[in-house]
Amino acid sequence: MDSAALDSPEDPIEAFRTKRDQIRSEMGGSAKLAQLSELGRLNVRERFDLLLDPGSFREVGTFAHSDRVADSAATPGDGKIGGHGLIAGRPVTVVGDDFTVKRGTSSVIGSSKLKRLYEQATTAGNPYIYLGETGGARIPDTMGSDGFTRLAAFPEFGVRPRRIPLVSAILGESFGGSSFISALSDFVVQVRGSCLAVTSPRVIEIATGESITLDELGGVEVHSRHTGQIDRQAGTEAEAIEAIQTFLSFLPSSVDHRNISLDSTASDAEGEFERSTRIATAVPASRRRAYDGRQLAALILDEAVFEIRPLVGRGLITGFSRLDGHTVGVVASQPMFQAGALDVQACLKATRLIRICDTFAIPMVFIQDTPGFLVGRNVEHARLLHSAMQLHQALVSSVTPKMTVVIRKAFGLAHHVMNGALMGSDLLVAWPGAEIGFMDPEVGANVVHSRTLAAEPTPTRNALHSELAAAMAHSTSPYGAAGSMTIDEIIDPAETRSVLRDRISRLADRRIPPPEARPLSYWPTC
Amino acid sequence: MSNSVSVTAEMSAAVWKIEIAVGSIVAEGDVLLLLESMKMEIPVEAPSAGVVAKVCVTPEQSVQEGDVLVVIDVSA
Repeated sequence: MDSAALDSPEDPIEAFRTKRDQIRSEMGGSAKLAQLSELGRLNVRERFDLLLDPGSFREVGTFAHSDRVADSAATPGDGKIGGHGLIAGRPVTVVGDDFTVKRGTSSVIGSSKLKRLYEQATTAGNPYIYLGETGGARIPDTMGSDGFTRLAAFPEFGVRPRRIPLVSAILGESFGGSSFISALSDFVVQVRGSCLAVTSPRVIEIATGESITLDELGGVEVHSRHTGQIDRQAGTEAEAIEAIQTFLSFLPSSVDHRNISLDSTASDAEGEFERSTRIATAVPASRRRAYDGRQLAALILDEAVFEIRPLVGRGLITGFSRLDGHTVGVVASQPMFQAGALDVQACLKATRLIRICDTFAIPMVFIQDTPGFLVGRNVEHARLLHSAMQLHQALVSSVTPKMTVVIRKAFGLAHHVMNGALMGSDLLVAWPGAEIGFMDPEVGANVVHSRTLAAEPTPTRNALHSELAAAMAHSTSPYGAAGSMTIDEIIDPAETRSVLRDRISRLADRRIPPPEARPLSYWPTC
Repeated sequence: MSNSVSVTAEMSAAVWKIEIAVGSIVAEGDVLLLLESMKMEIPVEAPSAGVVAKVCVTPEQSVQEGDVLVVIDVSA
């Protein structure tokens, strides 16, 4: 560097460079940066480096600072850093809370930056990514009615129809803003050791006397296994960043872009033949024998499903994969868990996936092997009825093409809400061994023949039950449905993949309704 | 034990049938035991080839998610 220029404060270009570089390198101060580093955590600029293609970050709002005169020098960026960059060559917009500036708290100017960048992302049609760990609204800035009312509650992020993918990572203690935006996001990943909540334990204790740790309140275990308010958990920040990149690799950049279609990843004829053989033998002959739905889905599709909310509603797998290179949303039964029965969380995550797929015109594949909905007081009191009918409404309102394969069991309303008969499917096929009906014959026999069974002497009661169930099971074969054209075809299990590949390749050039005519782009994210 | 893999339960269930014993040689994907939950038999498969070093459960025992079921020595 030319030292003569540095020495000359009159040179506006050099002064600008010095100031810019200082803001970007010192951030909220070396002490704060060291503190983060000691905690084994990255600062927001290091996170951008991991997330974005090298050298692609173009910052917006470097010189922003608090509008409180007393804080202007101590608040470089005003707690939020952001700009535009590339991920795998595709344009994205990124913002993040800067922990080193007043704990990444939200004040007027920083929040304007988030909004400004969201407008630019929406205009350009590129995904918006928020790396969140805000401590909440900043005090005292927002205590009075002036500051408070100027700190808008992110109206633009809640506006429907959604036009661009919105992605959140929770990478530290998140209260207020970054938590709110995560709930408005299409995808949320949370890193182990962080906390996602509306209100911090400290405020909770002062307000109510309740004492609770960060982990108990909003740790990854709480959200990944209980609330379902995150889509994935990550062990490290790097893993969280990778999850974002993977998620975005499945999604178009905006509602105005077509679905992502890679070159077909289908293997050669020999590989496809081997695959079809494995699909045909993946499902055990005994209807009581479970199998791993993830493995079956990975055989039928090009690759393993990138799961959304894998640890709740575990009787159902929801996520993204590819079929003949095209991104597809996947809803597949998981007989290993709850025999593949649907519960409240299964309905919620399926609804979420349908919403994303309809908004971004991504076709869907449903794979059915479900005994129905979970029954009992617990699920009924946890709003099973409303969750199921929410899924119902999302399904029948969506216009993206949806294909279904009935593998084995397909009982009750669970069959319908998993894109079953007369629910608007683009293709509905069944394996020859499929059982389709109102309820599992083993249960049905008990209900219909309860008096006969009760009158039967104990030694022969089981045999009679099996006989009655078998008689009912006969009528659940798919030929009844195929005979009345309520399913399109009965297929050889070995041709499952080729039937779906053929259909999706025909759909690739279909006429796609304009974004406004995709009803679920108006659907709430939560 | 130099190189072993613990096979854990993915869900709460009852142990139904054990298909191997200590010393059994298993290939990847072999069924080690069957769990029972919601009237379904759930096969637990060997994640990799090896020799069964330890069977930690007995039939009818109930297990929780994360419990170790079988330990396989994969050092060979």
